[in-house]
Amino acid sequence: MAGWRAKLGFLVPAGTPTVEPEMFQLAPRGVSVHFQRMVARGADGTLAGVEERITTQIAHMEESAELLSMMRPDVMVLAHTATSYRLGRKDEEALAGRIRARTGIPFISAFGSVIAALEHLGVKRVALGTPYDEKLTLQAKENLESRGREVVSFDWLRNVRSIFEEPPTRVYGLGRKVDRPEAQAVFLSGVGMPTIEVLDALDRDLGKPVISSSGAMMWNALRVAGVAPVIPGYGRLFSKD
Amino acid sequence: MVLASKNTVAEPDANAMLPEGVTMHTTRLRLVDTDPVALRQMTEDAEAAAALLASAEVGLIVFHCTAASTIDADMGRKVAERIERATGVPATATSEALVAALRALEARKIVMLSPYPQAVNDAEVVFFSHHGIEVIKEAGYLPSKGMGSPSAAPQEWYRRALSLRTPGADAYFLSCTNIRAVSVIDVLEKELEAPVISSNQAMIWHCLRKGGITDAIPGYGRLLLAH
Repeated sequence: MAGWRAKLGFLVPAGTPTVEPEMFQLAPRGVSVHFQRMVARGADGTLAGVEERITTQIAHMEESAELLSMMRPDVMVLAHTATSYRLGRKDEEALAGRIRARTGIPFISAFGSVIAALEHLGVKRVALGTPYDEKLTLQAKENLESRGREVVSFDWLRNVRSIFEEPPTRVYGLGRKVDRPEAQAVFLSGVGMPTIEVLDALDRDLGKPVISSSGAMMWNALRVAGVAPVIPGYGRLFSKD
Repeated sequence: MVLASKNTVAEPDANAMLPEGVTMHTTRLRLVDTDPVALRQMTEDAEAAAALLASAEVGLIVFHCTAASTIDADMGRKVAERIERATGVPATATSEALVAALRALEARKIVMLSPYPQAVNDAEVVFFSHHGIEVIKEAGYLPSKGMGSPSAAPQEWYRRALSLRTPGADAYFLSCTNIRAVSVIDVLEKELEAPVISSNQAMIWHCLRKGGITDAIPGYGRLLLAH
C-alpha cells in the first residue's frame, strides 16, 4: 500500500497548483499524501482576494477537515500560512482542538510547523521573506514575534502576479536578499510559492537552515505521524542529525 | 480530480503513472456507502467540487468514481457536462475513460472484477452493454466487514482476476478507483494473455490522451504503453 507507513492529509487553498506536486516530491517511501481543497471565495493566487479567501476558508474549515478525515489520515495539515496569521495562536489552537475532537485526527498547520522547526533547530533570530504585500508581511512578522522569535530582517517580493508562478530564481534571490549575518535561519513564508526546489541550495549557500512553509509542514506532519522526517536533498531540517 | 471522500488509492496511483510535467490536483465529495442512493447523491455536488479545482486553472477535470459514473448509462457524460457548464473547463468521468479504453483495445467482451455489492455490479453491466460492451463474467469481491476496499493487497486482486480466466474474453477490467490494482496489471496481462485495465489506469490514460499527451508509459499494461 502506498501509505503503509503513514497517510498525510492536506487542506489546501482551492487555487493552488503548488502543494500537491511538492508534497508528492517530498513524501518518503511508504508515505502517501492526500488532499482536500478548502471552500473559499475570492480571486486566487492574488493579493487582492486573499482577505476574503481567508475569511471563507476559516468559516468552512471544520467541514473541509471533516471531509478529508473520512480517508483516515494519520495527521491533517492546514496548508496555508496566511490563514494561520489571521487566526493567531489562540484561535488556531481552539480550531485545531475542535477538529481533533470531531475527527479524532491530529490537526497541525504550516505555520505551527514552522515554529516547531525553528524550535527544533534552536533558532531565535530569523530572517523573513514573503510573496505577500507589506501588510501581510508585517502580520507574518508579528506572528513570529508572538511565538518568541526575533525577526532580524524582512522583505517581500515585488510585482507578484501569481505567487504560484514565482520561478526559482526569484525565490532563491529572496532568500539571499533577506539573510543577515545575525540571522540563525531564513524563513520563506507562503505554501503557494514554490520553494522545495531551492531549499537545499539556499541552505548550503547561506550556510544556515532555510525553512519554508511547505518544507516545514511536511517535516512536522511526518513527525506527528511517527515517521522519521529524514529526506535527503532539502536542507538540514530534513537531515539525519 | 474529483474523488470520493474515503479514497486513499487514486492519488498515489495517479502520481505513479503521470509523466514528467503533468500534475494531478484533488478535491473530495462525501461518499459513505457504496449503494446506489449514496452514489447518486454524490454526483449532485459535482459542480461545487469542480469549481474549487477550476480555480487552480487545471486543464481538465475528471469526476473519478467508477460506481457513481456508471450508475446510469449516461451519468458520467451528464456529470461531465454539468462540470463543463459550471466551470468552463473540459471535463470527463471514469465511465468515459473506461469505454474509450476498451474501444481503443477493441474489446467487446470483458470480464469484470470489483469490490462492489451485486446491485452496483449489475448497474455497471447495464452501463457497458449500453455502450456495446458485453460483460461475459463478473464478480464482486467484498473485503471483510468493516475493512475498506484498499485493505485488499494487490496480490489478492491478482489471484481473483486469475481465477476469473475466461476463454473468449477480449479484456479484463478491475473496477473501482479505491482498489490497489495498478501494480499487478502488467503481470496479469502476461498470465491472462489479454489486455487488463483498471479504473485508475484507464482514467490516467484517457486524461493524458485527451490532453494531447501521447507518452508511452511502461509498467501499467498495454493501454498506457501502446495506445
